[in-house]
Amino acid sequence: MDVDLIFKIAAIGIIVAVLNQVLIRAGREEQAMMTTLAGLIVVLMMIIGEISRLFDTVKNLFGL
Amino acid sequence: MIRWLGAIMIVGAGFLAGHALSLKLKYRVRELEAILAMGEQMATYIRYQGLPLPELFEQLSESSQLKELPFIKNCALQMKGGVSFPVAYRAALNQSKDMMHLKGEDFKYLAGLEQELGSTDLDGQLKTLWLFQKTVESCLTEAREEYRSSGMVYQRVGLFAGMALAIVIV
Repeated sequence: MDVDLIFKIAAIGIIVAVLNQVLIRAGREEQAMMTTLAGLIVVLMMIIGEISRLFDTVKNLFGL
Repeated sequence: MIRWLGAIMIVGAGFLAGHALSLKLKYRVRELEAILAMGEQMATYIRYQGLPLPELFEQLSESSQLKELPFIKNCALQMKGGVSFPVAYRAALNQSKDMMHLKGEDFKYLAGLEQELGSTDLDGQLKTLWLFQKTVESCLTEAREEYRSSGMVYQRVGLFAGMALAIVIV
């Protein structure tokens, strides 16, 4: 696994947190929640390949 | 190197998109300020010079304060060509809708002048213009508040969205 992926996820997390605060302070709570959800979906999409590889590795390891 | 350039361009694109949305709000404020000035100038010309509508709009079209309102010059030109005020004013407003940044309700208040100007006596027209100015003042207050609260938000959201996109793509 590439270490860059961890840094990307961390950077997206920070940006989403900052955006969340900016939108909440502007009185747009719904849009803040949507931003958080969008960030979560983007991160999940980034790591879904790695999760799939993890399951394949576990299956191969235990001969399942 | 190319990746960094691409990332900077994506961030810049996000920021400019947010800035463009923020500018729309700023231009609405400017146009409402110009409309308020238009109402004041109209009331002054009608009260002290008693100008007929074609000449009134001719004078207004030469004012530097009203250059954000393209429909004034348009209306003046049409009236000079012999078109009646209500028709010229309505046509000028419709043609200017795409060039301006006003909301639907702002145009509704502007369109209200079509029926009132030139159809009542001096006192009636001055009262109409006074009411028009009060209405525009409340729209202007709301527009300024919207620009103050949302303008900065759009710029920041655009910048951060650009940064997030650059991180994901690059």
